[in-house]
Amino acid sequence: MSALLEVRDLQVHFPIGARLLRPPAGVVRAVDGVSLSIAEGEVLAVVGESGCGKTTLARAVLGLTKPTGGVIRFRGGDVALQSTAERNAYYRQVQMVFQDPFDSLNPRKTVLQTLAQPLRIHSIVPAGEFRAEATRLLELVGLSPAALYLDRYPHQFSGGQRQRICIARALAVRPSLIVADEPVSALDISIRAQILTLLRRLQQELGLSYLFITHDLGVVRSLCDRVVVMYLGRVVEEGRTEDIFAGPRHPYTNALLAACPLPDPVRARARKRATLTGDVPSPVNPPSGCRFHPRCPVAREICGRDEPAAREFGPGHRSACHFAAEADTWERPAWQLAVTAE
Amino acid sequence: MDAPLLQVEGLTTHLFTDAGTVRAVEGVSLTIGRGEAVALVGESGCGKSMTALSLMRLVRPPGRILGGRVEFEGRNLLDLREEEMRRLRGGDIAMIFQDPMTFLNPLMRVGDQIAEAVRLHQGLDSRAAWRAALAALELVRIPAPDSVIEYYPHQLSGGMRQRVLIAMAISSRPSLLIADEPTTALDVTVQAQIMELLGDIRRELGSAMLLITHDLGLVAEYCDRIYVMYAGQIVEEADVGPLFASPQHPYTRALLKSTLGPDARVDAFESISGQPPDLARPPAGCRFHPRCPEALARCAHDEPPVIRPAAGRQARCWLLAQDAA
Repeated sequence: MSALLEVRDLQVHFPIGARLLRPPAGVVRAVDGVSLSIAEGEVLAVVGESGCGKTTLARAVLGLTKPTGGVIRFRGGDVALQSTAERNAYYRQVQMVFQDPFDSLNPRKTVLQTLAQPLRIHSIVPAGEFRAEATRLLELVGLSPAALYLDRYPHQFSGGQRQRICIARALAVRPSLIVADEPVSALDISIRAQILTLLRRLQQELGLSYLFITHDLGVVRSLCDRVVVMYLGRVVEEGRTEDIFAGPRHPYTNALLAACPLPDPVRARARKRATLTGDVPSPVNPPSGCRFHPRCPVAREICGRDEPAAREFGPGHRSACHFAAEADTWERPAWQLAVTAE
Repeated sequence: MDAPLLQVEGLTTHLFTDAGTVRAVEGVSLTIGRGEAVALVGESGCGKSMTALSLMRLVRPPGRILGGRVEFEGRNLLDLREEEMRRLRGGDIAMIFQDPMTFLNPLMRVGDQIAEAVRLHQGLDSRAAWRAALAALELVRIPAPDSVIEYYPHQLSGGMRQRVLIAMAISSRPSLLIADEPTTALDVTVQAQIMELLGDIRRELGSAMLLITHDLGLVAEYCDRIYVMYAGQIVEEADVGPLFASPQHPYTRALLKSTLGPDARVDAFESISGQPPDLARPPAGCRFHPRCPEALARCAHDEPPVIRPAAGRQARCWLLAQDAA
């Protein structure tokens, strides 16, 4: 299967503390050697806590942040080596949806103006058809009748409606990959469910691929085909969603799953809490060896010394942990055992 | 049974804005027993935070408390003089908020801020207050508390700041802790730490907690009883077990279906259509009826009664009245 998007050994390092005539005091290794791929029509989740580099990864894919190393290939072509015309085509193919629908729409533009801009820039339809195309897009995202929305301004809409407008704008240029950075985490639960349902329907109807950045494992489970787990700029585990949830092979993934609130009082209270200690360390001075070792419940001496290489545990299931082979002996939350038994 | 620690009766708070009167809290009644963990659950704009602010009499104009009683340890807080109220806040009733940075003074050392709170409420001298601050930091399990006590807030991570805020809140050993979305700004692994910590501290001090949240996952694990709020009103009350096992109100059912845990089914997120109403113009009849998949004809014009199918349970819904009849 050929990959739609392929990221190989991507690095995004930011110098910090640099002033005129003074060298930088350090480097934030926000993304530090990340590789991943997304197939046509696939939904890939990138999961991790704040500071793990997931948003920087998304920005690098979108061309908003320049990588300091590594390769991004789209349909086989290296994005960095493309001509201007090819790169414009790439920017059309890859669209984004952000977390905050309040900040990502221009308050001075009507919905029609917002949707017409990408149509004009990328010459999707002739100017005379902007209104008809915008109507089609709004109806596609469930804002109908579109006439009620076209000539109004963002402040007249709720958060959920604004996020639908943002999705319509992303779809305007008929992309094949949507990079969605926490697209539902600013929304209320009932609205969140509506937007997730919409994203799933659009993905199926239009054959889209998603790079879905989130910290919410419930969303991952019900929307995503595959998961990449990041910690401090590195991929610690990746695999198919069902494999990750049924048998995580990295202690960090295990801890994330255990920390995820479980909306079921009986099982939530029955499970053992493998609470992690401490916060995510600074990516300026990541710990030596395995970056997770200071917080890891199963760490041993080697973990502080040697960086673990990723190893494969089943098809496409990779973990970068020295003791991944012992994963079956780790403390697992009760719900997880129930899932495995199904 | 002992008298409850807090008993709220018919609390009503409106906001008098230029755009009209926003009926943010409309006749809310709730009780919290000593040492009990009670959740007030709802979506943004449902009035849950305004309810908490009303309990503490922290409503600012254009908001105004219009009526009701807030009985705390036998006194109606709505009748107290502001000076008595000030002694109570941060004393017997303490609050923790979502964003710790808003409530920490960036120019003061952590220790001075906690000590100030202790001095105010317990009248200790500055030496003893400093010692109490250190003890509070130890209680919230901050590593190396004797160095952290000298830190300024910016030197701390988000989780640590929330611990400092909790230390400040519990330094006066409150009998009621009001926590408004205390972990929403934190990462999941840190959220778990903070919730566990709150549970341990409550057990140690015997404090009750009112947890205000939109996250039913947190409630399932850490609370004894739940009030579900929609559009300014309590629509359902139940113990945690029965609420998750057999929700009575259609809104509660919809919320539960939309709450995705790590064990969510692949076909999950069945959604409620529409959005919460504008509380300046709430719908007639049941406020949930325009979004309710089970609405009856009368729901559009008659306010539903509060039905109490069992002790400690209530739901505001016509469907239940039909069953009862």
